[in-house]
Amino acid sequence: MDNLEKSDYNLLKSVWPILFIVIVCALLAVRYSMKIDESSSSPGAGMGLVYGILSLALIVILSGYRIRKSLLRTPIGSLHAWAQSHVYMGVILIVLVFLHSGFRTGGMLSGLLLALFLLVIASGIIGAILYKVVPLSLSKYGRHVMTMEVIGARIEKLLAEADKQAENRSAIFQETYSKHIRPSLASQQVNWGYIFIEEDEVIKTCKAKMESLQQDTPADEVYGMSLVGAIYAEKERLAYKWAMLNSLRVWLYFHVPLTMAMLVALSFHLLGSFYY
Amino acid sequence: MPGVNLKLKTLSGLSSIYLFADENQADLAAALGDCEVSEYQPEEMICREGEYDENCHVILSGMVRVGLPRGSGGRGSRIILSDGEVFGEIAAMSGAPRTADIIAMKPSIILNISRSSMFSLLDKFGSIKKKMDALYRERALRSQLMKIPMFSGVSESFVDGLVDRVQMGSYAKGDVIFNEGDDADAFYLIRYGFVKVSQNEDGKEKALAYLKEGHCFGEMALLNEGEKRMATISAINRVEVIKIAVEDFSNLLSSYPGIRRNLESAAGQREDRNVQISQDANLANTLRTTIEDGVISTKSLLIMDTTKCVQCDTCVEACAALHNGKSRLVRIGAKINSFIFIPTSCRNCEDPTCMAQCPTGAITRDSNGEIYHKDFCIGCGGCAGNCPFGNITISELDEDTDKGIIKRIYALMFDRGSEKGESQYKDLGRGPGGSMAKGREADAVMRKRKKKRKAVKCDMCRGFSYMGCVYNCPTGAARRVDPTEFFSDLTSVG
Repeated sequence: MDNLEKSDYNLLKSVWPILFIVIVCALLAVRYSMKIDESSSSPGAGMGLVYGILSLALIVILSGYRIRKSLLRTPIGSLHAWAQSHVYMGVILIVLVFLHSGFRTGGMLSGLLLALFLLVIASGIIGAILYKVVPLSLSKYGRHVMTMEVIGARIEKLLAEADKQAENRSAIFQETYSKHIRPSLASQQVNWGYIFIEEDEVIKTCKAKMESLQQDTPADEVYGMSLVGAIYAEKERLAYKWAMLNSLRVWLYFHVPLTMAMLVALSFHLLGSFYY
Repeated sequence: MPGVNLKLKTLSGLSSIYLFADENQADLAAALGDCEVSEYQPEEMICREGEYDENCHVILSGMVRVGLPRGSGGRGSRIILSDGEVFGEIAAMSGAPRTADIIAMKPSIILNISRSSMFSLLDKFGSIKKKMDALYRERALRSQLMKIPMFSGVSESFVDGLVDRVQMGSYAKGDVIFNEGDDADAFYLIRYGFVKVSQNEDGKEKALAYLKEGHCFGEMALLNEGEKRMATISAINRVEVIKIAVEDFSNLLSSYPGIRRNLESAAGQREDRNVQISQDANLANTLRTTIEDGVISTKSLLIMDTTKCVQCDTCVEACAALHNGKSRLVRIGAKINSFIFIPTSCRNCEDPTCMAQCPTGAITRDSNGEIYHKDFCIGCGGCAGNCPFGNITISELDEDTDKGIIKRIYALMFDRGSEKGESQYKDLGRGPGGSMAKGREADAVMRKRKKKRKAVKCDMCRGFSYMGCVYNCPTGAARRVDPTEFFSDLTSVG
């Protein structure tokens, strides 16, 4: 029954890479602690320099992921393997960089480089979490997989459908609709709060709001209001999917430019190292 | 490998071949004019068991041996065929994979009759049809019965007796083989295709399992005398069955008590299985959708795990990059359970309806069962209209597509559009249904432009060492699977 059960967090599959990372990091730390002297804690000499060279090599490989992503016709390893290596090597890089710097921030350029490196790592961790959480959240409900374009088009149609339902209704109905529901249906803004909650919470909130609105609705229009409520709930459900998918796109606008900035700072750092 | 292929210009001595003996030789020579003749050296493989090859062969001279089906446990003797004898008619008539290896024993000259030529021969010549039907019946039955594990202990003389008495049945997609509550009159073995087992529950049909080639059904009511059919059996795709009458089935059980024990054990497992399905709503739902969406009766299925898919569309871009800018993959569609999603991509059906009406024979199936279009496709849209899943598109090819090698290397190295897959095609429609109307509309436009029109579909990245969509999925969500293996938990006990 394995194939038909959810494969969300299969621990066994990820144990070996994690074990590998732990062993590598432990070996590096042991090697570092065995020889704490001037040469080993100095970034420019001895083991410090070795850690620096290893860090540079890893950064080059990690940056290669972006190049691999655009070489879709070139058989240089599956993209999945590259993506996994990108994450695991990134973790090892954190240890290497700190061992290289000797846990010091150094001068202004080194400090800036370290700060950018930490930002890249932080955005990378956020990305890794989003890559796990977003697909899981999106797969829970609904039978159809929709692209962002399809979601956008559907949201536009929902507003017209709700307007049609509200036509020729009583003044109270119209007022309730235009004051409490239509603004949400017409809103084009991404509700970023949705990425921190589950889809069923969104639906619960919609239901609660509609129940309170139905109390003020004339008895003969309660059914009409429930139809509008169903449209409103669907819009919010789609808005949830939209926010989730958008988070993956927006994240790249942080991670990639930060990486670029870090690579520029790294270039100056290398030039400086050679110069001095 | 076949030897030199000779175009069949003149056919002398056709009258000496049993199959053609009773027909007018001139008419026959005309009907066989497009067929080819191949030469084979001793020990050269002509057909391989399990491969798809829809030619029927006649030995003009030489000798071949028919290897035993691998499932038969080495029982029985090899069959030797020589001058004038026919082989390959089972696969040609049913469209199923080859049921045995055929190897040349002496230098042999073989007449290859394509499936379409063979059916036209059967239409035109009554005596050939009669002989072929008899041959097909005898060989298909024998080969099938010998393959079924249940018959592994049964003597050859018993099987020979059965071959004379059993009936063969053929059912189209959706046909009911028997209904729940019917009288039990026979035991069935599936020779080809897939069937659905279902029961009526509060007026609604509830799928319990599907069964495939080599499985049997109908034994539960026969084992308990007087019982009615406990479930409805219907064809998921084109199905061929072997029907053993109740008297023969009783004889079989009384002669071979081991078979009764095995069937009783299998029946017990099936009942347990039915209970499990009725208690597990998710499993029941997955079973229902896999059958309704035509997932089971396919050979290779692209699936996406929605718990991993980040909807980055790299799979679509990769498909376009590997296929002249035209992606054959559309990442929309339905989920078959809470996390398996089937995008729009060729499934390589067991019984491909897309191949049925191709006027040029451009859409074909290779020995592995993969369906693809040859270069001489004229883009008529017949295949797209016949595909029940809308997985074939009719596209127009831009004139500048045929780039020289220098231009192609330049594009590969420097032109991001080429690598990322900017479109060199324009969609003219995707089957089924609307594609034909759209196609006709586009036809007029294209006659003016003098552009090429072609059917495009997923060809499993023929010519590449990897499948673009799977290889370029960053999260491992995209996978190509064999549905009968991947969904094996949904089959019933064979």
